[in-house]
Amino acid sequence: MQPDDKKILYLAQKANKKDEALALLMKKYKERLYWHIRKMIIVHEDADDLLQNTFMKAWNHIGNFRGDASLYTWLYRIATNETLNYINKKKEGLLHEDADIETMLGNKIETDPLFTGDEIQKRLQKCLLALPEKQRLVFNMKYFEDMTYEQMSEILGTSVGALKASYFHAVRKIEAFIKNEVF
Amino acid sequence: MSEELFGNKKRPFGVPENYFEDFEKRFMKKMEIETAENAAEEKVGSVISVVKPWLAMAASFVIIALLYYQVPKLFSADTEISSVNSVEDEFINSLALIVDEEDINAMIIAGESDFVFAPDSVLFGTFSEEELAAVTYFD
Repeated sequence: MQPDDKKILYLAQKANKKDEALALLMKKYKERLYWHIRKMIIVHEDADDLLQNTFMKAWNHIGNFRGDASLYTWLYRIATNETLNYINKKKEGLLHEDADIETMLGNKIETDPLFTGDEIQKRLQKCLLALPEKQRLVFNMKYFEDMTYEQMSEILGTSVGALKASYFHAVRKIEAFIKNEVF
Repeated sequence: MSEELFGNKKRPFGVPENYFEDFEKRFMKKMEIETAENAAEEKVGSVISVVKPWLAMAASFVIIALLYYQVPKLFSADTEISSVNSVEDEFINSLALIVDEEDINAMIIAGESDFVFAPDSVLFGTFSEEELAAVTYFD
């Protein structure tokens, strides 16, 4: 049985129960957050670092958590920001090396022993890498995680209408890539 | 949405063995290291915050000391001249009380008469008397 968010927050306020609260927080959310990050980052080692940073940030600021959003939404927001910041930094770093992150991650998919998908899944991942980050994020959350637009709106701070448009554009682009055999 | 086109929704990625099982242990280790590093940084920061006001106070003392010793020196040349002038004036005034004005004039004339003119200036040293007379213009 998954621990209750209220219980985690209650324990986090008690000085002698903090470690217990952190253990429960990780137990409940580590897998979901890991996959959320991994689908964007592709590389396991980077996803692991970002997941640890996410928990570190969440833990350092849990005292400021006001409870306006659910713990789940708050953690997803931190993980998403960490991931997008990481991608932007990586892109800036690659500007001087005449390389791009999409090609790099595409090559990683080809050679990564931890990639367990079939050829269709491999093609989809390469198509996704050609999309803007926001569209990729929206597609992953909708297609793989089956999130509602309302949940996504809370996490990403974007209107439901804009999210629907993003998803629509993402699907159209992927379909075009596949039909034209771009990947 | 066609799964035939996009593939099945199963995640196409795997994780190393026992990754999720060991995650807490690795995270706690990382947290301990970061906490220790932060504590060390805070310690350095707190030492600086303790020393900083003392350094500022020492610096202000140095500035005051420099001002105390250097500013009078800046005006010291003028002070000496003015003191010398005042001493000379006092001497002449006191001399005037005991010596007659005519005697003073005589002393001045006698002093001036002590001045010795050089026989030839350096400029005209190589000129003869006739050559000098020839180049000298008389109005």
